[in-house]
Amino acid sequence: MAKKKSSRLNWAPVKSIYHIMKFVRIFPLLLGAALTLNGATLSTKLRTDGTELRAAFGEAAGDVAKACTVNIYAGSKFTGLGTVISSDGIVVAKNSEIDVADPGALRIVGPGKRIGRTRILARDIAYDLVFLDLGREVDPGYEWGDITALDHGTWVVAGVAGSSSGPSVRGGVCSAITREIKKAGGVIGVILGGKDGKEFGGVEVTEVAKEGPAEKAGVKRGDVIFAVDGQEVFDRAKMIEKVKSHDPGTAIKVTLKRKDKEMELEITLGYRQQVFSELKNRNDRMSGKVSVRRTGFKRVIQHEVSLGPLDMGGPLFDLEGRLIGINIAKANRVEFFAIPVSDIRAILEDKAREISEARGE
Amino acid sequence: MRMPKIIFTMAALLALLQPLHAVVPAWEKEAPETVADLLAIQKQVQKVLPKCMAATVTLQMGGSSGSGVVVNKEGLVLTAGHVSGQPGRAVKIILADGRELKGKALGMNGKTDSGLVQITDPPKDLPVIEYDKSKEELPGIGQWCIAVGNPGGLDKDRGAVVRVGRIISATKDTLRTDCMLLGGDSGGPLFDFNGVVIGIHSRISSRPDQNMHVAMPAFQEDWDTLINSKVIGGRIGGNPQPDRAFLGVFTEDNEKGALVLEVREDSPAAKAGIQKDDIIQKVDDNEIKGAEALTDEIRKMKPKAKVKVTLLRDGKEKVLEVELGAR
Repeated sequence: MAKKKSSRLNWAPVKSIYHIMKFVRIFPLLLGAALTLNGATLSTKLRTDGTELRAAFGEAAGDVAKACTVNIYAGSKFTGLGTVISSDGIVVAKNSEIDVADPGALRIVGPGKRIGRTRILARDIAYDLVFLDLGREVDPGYEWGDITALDHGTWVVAGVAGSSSGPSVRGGVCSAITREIKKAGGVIGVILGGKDGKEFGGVEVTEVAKEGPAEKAGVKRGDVIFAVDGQEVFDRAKMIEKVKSHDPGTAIKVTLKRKDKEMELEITLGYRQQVFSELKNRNDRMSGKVSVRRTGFKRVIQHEVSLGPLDMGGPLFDLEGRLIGINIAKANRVEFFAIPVSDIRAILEDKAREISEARGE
Repeated sequence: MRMPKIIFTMAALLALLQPLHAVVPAWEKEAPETVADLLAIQKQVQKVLPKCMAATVTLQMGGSSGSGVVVNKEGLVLTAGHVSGQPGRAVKIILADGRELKGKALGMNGKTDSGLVQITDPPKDLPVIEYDKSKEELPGIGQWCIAVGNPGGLDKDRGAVVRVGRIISATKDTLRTDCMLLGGDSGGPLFDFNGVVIGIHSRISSRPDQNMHVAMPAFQEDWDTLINSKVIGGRIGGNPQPDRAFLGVFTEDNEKGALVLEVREDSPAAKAGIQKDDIIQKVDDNEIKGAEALTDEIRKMKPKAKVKVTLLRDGKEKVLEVELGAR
């Protein structure tokens, strides 16, 4: 009987008995209990990246996302999103994704269905940004926001590469302190857990990471390192600092004592997350594809909106649809970074002359 | 005929229910429908968050790092069993404000992954938070929750990381949510919207919706064991038991057997080629009906024993020979 009622009432202003019941406070509890008993799971559309939630976030920023988000292609390869950053048609995107793509004609698709060739007007390596020319004036549709109101737990809404109906949005919270992300230095793959100091005459190697750069170069447990690149270092912290100041891929010279012998070895630095700790390795494996460059940004907002590396370059809005940032990196499955809009505007001002010259103005 | 009457009844009902509608918070709706709902959720999260974050701590043991949450003034910390590990071992506790305290591991359950740590020099102003002491009751499906922890390990400039999500499923041992977790989060707290601890981050798979938390009844069930620094269910964690065999997989129950969620690096399972998402169905000739059955079966074996593991991979049966290791 009840079932019949609910289906017959579907067309009525009150959509179904279910919609009435959900206003009753106890109903979610009953629903929860019933589902638990069934061993059921929460429907995917009700999850934080599900369609129902996306609709609410769409109300906040769906239209502005469509008005300013573009897709960028190098040759036939989709390299990610871009955001129209000024009404005279400047588009900002993530530089490194375009850098690593096969060289080919750069094209911008959007806003809307328009497709056009584009070219690079300027780059900012410190922020990993590239500025492109849309070649026409366009109303980006949003207002500038600011990040002073951002705190842990503040909702943010990201533009994501959409389907045929254009870009869509997804939401999540601001999840950590806005800050600089330091460049990750290289490592040689040893643990310096023993003695150190001038009297000891160097820094003792207590463990050598399996198949790490140090092991490959012949470093052994118990060795005492006392110089890096010909300079004497007896302090553990200083030695780590010195090694870390080099990028992965750089070769350094390490001088060490083994019993009574002294030797100098050349070691090519590796990436910390590859060389060290099961934890880092495993975290990367659990994160799926991450951004080519995910460290070395002067200032980022951190959020939890689940994006892919190709959603980078897209816009980040607040709940009022104001632009607060440009997504710049998926660091792992939990941590996503966006460059604050105030920083982008400062860069644009800095590069104003370079950009107008590139445009032949 | 009947229809108008029904509509009338419904309308009357709806009118009656209006005042109630007004008091239902946005987070108790099936889903937030408007920006106003989202703002109401945000307001509630930010109301409870400062206290939640203050009580969330980093735990350091040797070279590894995890998370935990302080639940009383005497310095008791709830964490994951695979974080606290061997009872008695030294743990450094780093508070949200950066202060470093001394402590030691108490007990753990290797099966449910519950664990406790005791701070041995608790300061007077130690931030603490309430935890759910239910023995039976579970969070409802769809209930909103807040995850705090240190994904990727301690980062002083970043601080703890916050995620907001919903309960996907719940049993007495395990909650599953869409709050994305990562290694380093382990042991960190899952809160409800009143800021009460309802779970402890435990494990993940590479699937984004596989974020598992120890449910609070699992802590209550073993409370005496945990507080008295005992170990039970030694399936994962730093729990050396030399004459017990070790396979090196973490599994969950599946209709067809034990579904592999994780394979430990360099473990006998990894060496034999067992992979994530394999479904283990037999060890030698003994049928494996689920995660527990697999643990029990391996527990009967001795290190270095050679066993045949029958599993399903992409729907096809495969038999692998594994030489078991020692825990």
